[in-house]
Amino acid sequence: MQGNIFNIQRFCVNDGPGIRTTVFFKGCPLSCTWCHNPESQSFEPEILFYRDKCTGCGRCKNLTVNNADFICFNGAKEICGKTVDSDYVISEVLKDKIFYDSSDGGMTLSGGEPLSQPEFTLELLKKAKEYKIHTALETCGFANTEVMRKAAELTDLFLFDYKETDPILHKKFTGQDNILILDNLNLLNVLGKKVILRCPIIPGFNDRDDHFLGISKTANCFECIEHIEIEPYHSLGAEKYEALGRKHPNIAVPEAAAVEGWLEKLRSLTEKEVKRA
Amino acid sequence: MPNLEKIKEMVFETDNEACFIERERILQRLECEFKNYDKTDKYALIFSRLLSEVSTPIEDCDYFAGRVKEALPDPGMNAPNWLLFSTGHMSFNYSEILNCGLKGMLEKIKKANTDGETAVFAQNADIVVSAVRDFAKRYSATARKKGFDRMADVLERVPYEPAYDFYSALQSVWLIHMIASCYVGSRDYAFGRFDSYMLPFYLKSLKNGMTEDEATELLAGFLIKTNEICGRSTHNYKQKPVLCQASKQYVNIGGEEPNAFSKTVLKAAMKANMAQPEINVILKPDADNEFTDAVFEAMSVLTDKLHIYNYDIIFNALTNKGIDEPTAKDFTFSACCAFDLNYHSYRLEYYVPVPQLFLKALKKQNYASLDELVNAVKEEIRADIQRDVDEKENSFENKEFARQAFVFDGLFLTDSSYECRFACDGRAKYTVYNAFCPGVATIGDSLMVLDKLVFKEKRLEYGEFIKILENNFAGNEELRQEILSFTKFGNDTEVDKYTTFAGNIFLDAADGVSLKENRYLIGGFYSLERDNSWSGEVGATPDGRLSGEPFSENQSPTYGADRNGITALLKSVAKLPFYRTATGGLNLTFSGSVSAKILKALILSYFEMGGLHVGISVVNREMLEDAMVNPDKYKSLTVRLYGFSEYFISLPKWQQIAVINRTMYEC
Repeated sequence: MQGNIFNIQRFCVNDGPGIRTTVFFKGCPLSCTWCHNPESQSFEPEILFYRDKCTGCGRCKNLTVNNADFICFNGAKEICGKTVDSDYVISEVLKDKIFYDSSDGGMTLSGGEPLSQPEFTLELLKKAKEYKIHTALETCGFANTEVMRKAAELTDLFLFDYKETDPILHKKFTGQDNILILDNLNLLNVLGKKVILRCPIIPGFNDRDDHFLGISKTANCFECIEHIEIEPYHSLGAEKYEALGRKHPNIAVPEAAAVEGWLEKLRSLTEKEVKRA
Repeated sequence: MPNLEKIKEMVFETDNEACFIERERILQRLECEFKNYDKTDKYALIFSRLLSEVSTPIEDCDYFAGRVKEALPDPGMNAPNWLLFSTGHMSFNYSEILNCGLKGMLEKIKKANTDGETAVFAQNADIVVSAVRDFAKRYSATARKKGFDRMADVLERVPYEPAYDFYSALQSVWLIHMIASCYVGSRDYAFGRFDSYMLPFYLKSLKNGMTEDEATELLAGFLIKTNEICGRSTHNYKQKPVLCQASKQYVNIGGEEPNAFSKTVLKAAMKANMAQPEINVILKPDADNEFTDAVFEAMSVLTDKLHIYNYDIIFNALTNKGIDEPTAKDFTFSACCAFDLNYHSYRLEYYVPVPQLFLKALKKQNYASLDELVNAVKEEIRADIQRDVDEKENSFENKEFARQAFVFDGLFLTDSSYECRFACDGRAKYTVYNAFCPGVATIGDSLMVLDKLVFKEKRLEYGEFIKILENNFAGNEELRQEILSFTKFGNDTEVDKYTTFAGNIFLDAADGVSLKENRYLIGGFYSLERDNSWSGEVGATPDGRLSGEPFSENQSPTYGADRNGITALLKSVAKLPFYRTATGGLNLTFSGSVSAKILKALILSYFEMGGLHVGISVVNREMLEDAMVNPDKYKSLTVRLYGFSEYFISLPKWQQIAVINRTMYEC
């Protein structure tokens, strides 16, 4: 079984409990205006070009997106996205088994959107379970409900994105409304899965009182949600937009005081724990 | 009133060019006075005069007596004076000092005195012990005058008499340690297995009403004091003109059986939270969970000021070398990452110029296979270590004045002092040679590149590649860039085997050295600052490193070679043959704080895979770069260097850059 990914990162400590290996899937059904990982959006492989590092040696003159193993000696060009076997991914994940066992960690599938490659995702989850590895799935929730149900059987923890409460604004910011997403969250609740609600807060987009109220209502009404994580906008993806030849959305990074204010506001609206991711 | 904050402040206020002015002036005078005196009690008489003449200052904020008054050297003064000195780097028998007092120890020495050389030792011991007793009494008088009655009472008894509670034990240890470090000795006297010999006194005081908080505060006061005698500034890079120049302080805890007091040491260290002492935790991976949790909790707070050794690995390595189990269990650390058999051993060190020897062997002839090359490298290293050992053996016959008859340190290595001699004559119970291998990853990666390009792929003739190295890759930049892009040691891949191989080459060479009876030679992977200071004498290496560039530090991969994150790094480094070593260290840098839980998981897993040691720094690049420009903002910022903790702003620029260039792991 094969799938498209763009990275396998070891020693992730913020994508679920303990020490984890995170597999980043290539391609996402949403197109959030503020996306922190622009290289994860397209389902096709892409070339990232960091102009500042290029010495003009010319080794890459015949480079195409299919040369996934190409190494630029200066780190100026890299291919983002390659097709890999599930066996390869699992063998990479297994390398840190000793650390999962000592830290209650495991494997996290992220992206992009793993559920947009349902068979590959299910295969990886199934294999991880065979090796008794804890599984977490980070999802935007925009997925076929049957796929979500099957994934839920093999997933110990969902990191579920909640981007916008208002369905019309949701469509405006991400390209899709949130009806299917909320249905899927409801499904996980019915199935009794563990969920962490992850909320990107983007100044000028969703840092509104009605959205905070929406987050807290969702958290309060779904028993499956263990806690809420706030992900304040950051500009670490700026370099990647440039490397992809795309325009950076140019959003102001929030001040620390503003982030504290968001956390406080949410904490006043819900009994559930609110953390900063 | 004793005050932790105040004694801390005084450390930061010291002048980095100051010396122990009273000592210098007194010795300058005594040097003339004793010029023509050649009787065998010369050392002891000078020692005695020195201790009787120096002042005995006590500050209002002091918990313990014993301070050294510092000032800039007088014009023309050549500080420190070497009339009294020793070699340092040893651990005293503090258990004996505390339980018998100097008085009891002297009785044992006198009993062993028969004639000749032993008489000289016993006679000197007698004079020196009296001098220390009187010195403590003078401190007692100062304390009494200040109204510090408890301190005064204690100093009337210790260290001459046995310690009788927690406070008197700490006071006793401090006076001996201070005299050894600042008056007569050298740097790096270590506190040995501190939790083990302090336990009875701690328990006794608890029973008599001391609270845990009082114990922690007293101990914090003691630990902060160790920063007063490091012989180095806390700010710009200066080493004081004192005997204990650049000294580190080593408190060892844990081992086979961590005890109730071990955790108090951790608590006090967190309260003190200064660059010294190094808290060396000797951790048995299956130690009781409560102690283990306390260790990692302390590590997450103290970061670079606490480091951890794998007890099992070291114990097994020592017993495999033929050291008996009870002694092997008692190993401890003095000096950066080098071990002692507690107070039983006399240790000598040698940093083997492995990268230089490797290149020398490489260029000797055209080798037809990797095996042929490796054998030549092994022989080159073996012969070099043998030469060093032979030199040291010969030097035992030529002791210098101070050590010929007697030296203060000699009292406290009791295996030999109770036979009326000092252990440095090659007749210590255990004479241990530590042989350090710098640059193991550079050698490993170089073997990999040679094997790949020359022996396997045959892209280059052997001689052709050596020529390229001799020309420092001039005209072959594309080849060099390609080599640099190869996956190297540190990424948990199969190329790690070459660095394991390099490690074994070194250890095989060390095992091939012939030794006299009762000598032990133990290798380890440790560079200290040689990765930079030797770089100028190491030409281009096959791994793509240019002549003059730093080679790999300690047990780490070459700079920037580890690209797969910290778990991959740990898995790679664990492949080094640590089971054959007992020294050296691995330093990890995190760019943000790490929880105790994650540290515990990382380090215990590493130890499970055979890792030897871990020390950490938590710093980020921006902060360090800012500290280089605005040092005043970062007075208390410490980082882990090769085998110890150091104030970042006290480092020379090249060392600051080396720290900044390390791989920093995000958490």
